[in-house]
Amino acid sequence: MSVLQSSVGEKGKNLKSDVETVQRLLKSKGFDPNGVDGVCGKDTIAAILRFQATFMSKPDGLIEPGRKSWLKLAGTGGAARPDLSQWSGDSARWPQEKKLQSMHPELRRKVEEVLQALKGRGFQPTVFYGWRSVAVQMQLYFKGNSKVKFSFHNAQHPDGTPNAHAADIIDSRFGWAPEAEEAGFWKALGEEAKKQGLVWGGDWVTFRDWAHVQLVPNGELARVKRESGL
Amino acid sequence: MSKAVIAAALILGTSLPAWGERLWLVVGASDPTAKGIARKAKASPLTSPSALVVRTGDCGDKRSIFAWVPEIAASPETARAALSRVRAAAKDAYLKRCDTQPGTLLALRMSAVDSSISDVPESAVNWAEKDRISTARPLPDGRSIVIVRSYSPADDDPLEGKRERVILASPAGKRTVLEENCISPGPVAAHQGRLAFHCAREQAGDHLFHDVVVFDRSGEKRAEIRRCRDPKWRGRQLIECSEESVGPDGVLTLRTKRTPLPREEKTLDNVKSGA
Repeated sequence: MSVLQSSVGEKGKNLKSDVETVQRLLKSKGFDPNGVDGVCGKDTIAAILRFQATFMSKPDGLIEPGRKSWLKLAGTGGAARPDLSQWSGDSARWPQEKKLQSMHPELRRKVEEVLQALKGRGFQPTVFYGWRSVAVQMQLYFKGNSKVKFSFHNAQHPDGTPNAHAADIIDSRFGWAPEAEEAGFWKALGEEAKKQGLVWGGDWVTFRDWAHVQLVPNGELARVKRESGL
Repeated sequence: MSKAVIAAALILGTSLPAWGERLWLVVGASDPTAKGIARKAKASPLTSPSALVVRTGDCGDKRSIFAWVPEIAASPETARAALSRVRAAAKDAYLKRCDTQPGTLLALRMSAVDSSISDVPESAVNWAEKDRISTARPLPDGRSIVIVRSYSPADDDPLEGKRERVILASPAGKRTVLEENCISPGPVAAHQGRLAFHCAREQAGDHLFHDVVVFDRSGEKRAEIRRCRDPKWRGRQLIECSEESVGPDGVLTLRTKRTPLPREEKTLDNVKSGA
């Protein structure tokens, strides 16, 4: 387990070695502080705030030895943690295979069936999102581009590796443009997803999410979050 | 404490300041959070059809908390009588003198926290404090737009029962529901009493799609423009908004769209536009 000598972040002591430790850990968890340079600038504090927002209602931007934020950041079990840097960055830009790898095995199997069936119907389906990190989700939320702070896309194993319970599937010719609806892509996606027992976001009358399929109903969100260690 | 408050009230009198209405709030409970006050109000044995949750900021308090107010009085005398009644059920009840800020929910006698908020399950994942608090936005013509945030349980709801009802409230007390559920209503564009705003309706990758809704002066819906945001009036009969599209690369494209409105006698069906 990493060691922190003193506080890092907003009004912290910000010793260079401590800042480097915190920056490295933030980056490994997908909260990129824009480099590891030992300097606690606005990017580092912003990354701390985004990280804290995943478990604190009022993030303070400060990591202190022995306190909750540090224990969450460093991990309390002392066991070796996987390198999560391979799962950082914009997961919408990952190759298809990596997106599929980021899914819960059962979701992956079902999504592959759906993709195959849609190809058979003359569409050009592609996965836009499999997993996305909680950090990215929080950015979307605070920018007003998502209504939720935790979604089934963010599901992970307790060690932080992806275990997405949701995927967004589009036709690579249309995206979310009106042509997708006109060509019958959303309807076909809904039909094929439901054949696999998936939940389809196009059925949600309060808030449609046409491209979205998920493994379990919305009522299981709290359980999935809990099992994700979040 | 209440005796001191009442005594101070009698000394100071009840004259109205130029900027607001002086009221006496019978406070049955208080709490710094919307979640807390909703639960306290629900737990109270006192039932009152006129009970409100008031943000004390609506009285001009710099540090605003939530107060559950079973009764409101216009004079210290009626307030004392009301306090006696309330204390029979809530012994810690007290009086609060309040110079109501214009344009607030209290001025409209509307609750800052809907009673349904007490039913939000503990296990809810995506509820934040702001989702529990209703708000008012004054319009230039003296009316207000009120956004009532509430909880409505439904099967397989991605919003976990979060609802935002948009109401047009006139100072005379008339209330017109403009939208039963408008997620994240945008700024209201007003033109000679006519109103337009957008509601989030769909998720599209990293972006939200909105619908623009347009109302005449009476609150009757005149148009609904799919996948458009940020409406602006361009004269009496023309609405301009930014039409939304998200391509396969996930990039949002906005394009100016102008929608002529039907004359007042025509109905919504004439103008509903699809994507």
